[in-house]
Amino acid sequence: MSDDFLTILREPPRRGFADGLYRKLSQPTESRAVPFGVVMPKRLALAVAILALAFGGLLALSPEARAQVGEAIKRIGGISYKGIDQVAPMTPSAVRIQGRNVSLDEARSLVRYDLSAHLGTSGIRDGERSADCDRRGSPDETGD
Amino acid sequence: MNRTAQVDWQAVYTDLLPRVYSFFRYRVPDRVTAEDLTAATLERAWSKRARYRSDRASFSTWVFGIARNVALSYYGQHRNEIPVDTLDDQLSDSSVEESLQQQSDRERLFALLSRLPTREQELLPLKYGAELTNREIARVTGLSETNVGTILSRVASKMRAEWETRP
Repeated sequence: MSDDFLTILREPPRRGFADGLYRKLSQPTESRAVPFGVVMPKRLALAVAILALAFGGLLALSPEARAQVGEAIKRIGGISYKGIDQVAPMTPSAVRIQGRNVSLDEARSLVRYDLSAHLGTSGIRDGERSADCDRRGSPDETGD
Repeated sequence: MNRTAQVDWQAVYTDLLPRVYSFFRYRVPDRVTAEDLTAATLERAWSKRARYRSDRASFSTWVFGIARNVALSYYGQHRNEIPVDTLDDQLSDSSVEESLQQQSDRERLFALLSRLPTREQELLPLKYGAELTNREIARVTGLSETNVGTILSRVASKMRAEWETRP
């Protein structure tokens, strides 16, 4: 006996089904594509996860990367923040005496007392102590 | 090199649609489900056509690989949900008596198929529904061609014996 009986379940598809499926497959891919919002979140989430892992790995392994990121954070909003551990002592280059700016050497020659001792060691900015100098004048004038 | 450019999709559709549909008719009892699974298979093949490599397998082998996965997925979701007495009527030009006889034979064969082990349940539809050669079946299933031939021969003999003992 042949195996013909095994073929009795074989049958052609309905014409309507065949035509409908053909039309569906013939449509442009764009119109059958899954909407952007359905697929992209998954892909985006995967991409973001990969990027985050790579970024985290980079930060963990590279001190330079950490420093760069720290600098970038300090510049957020166009404002730079600088951490300064030690302030360099300022040396006055000019002082205002009797209404005019003079160099420190000139000032020393004009006054008859030790200008450095009077200004102190912390320094002075240009013109900052001028009023004080003008008011006091020399030690002789004040009677000291 | 674009290996998919040489595929004539019109011819492929004309050739494969009846075979894919018949393959599913051996696996599910009702026409609507067979149509759904056929559509799922061909849509998946169409959407993934860029992945087809003509140097690895024939196009029909590739498509039936997809059909096999679709069937496995379907059975995974609908295990124990397939009654054998729901085979729908086959429209026919023959007489009512002949139609009833055909319907009875179809139900009986489907019942015999349903009692086979899973592997044989896969191979028979590929052979008699999809009309693949043993070599193509071997490629789709991952079995050796010799193994496919041996299993099919054995199961056909067994089915024939059961078929001849008509109740």
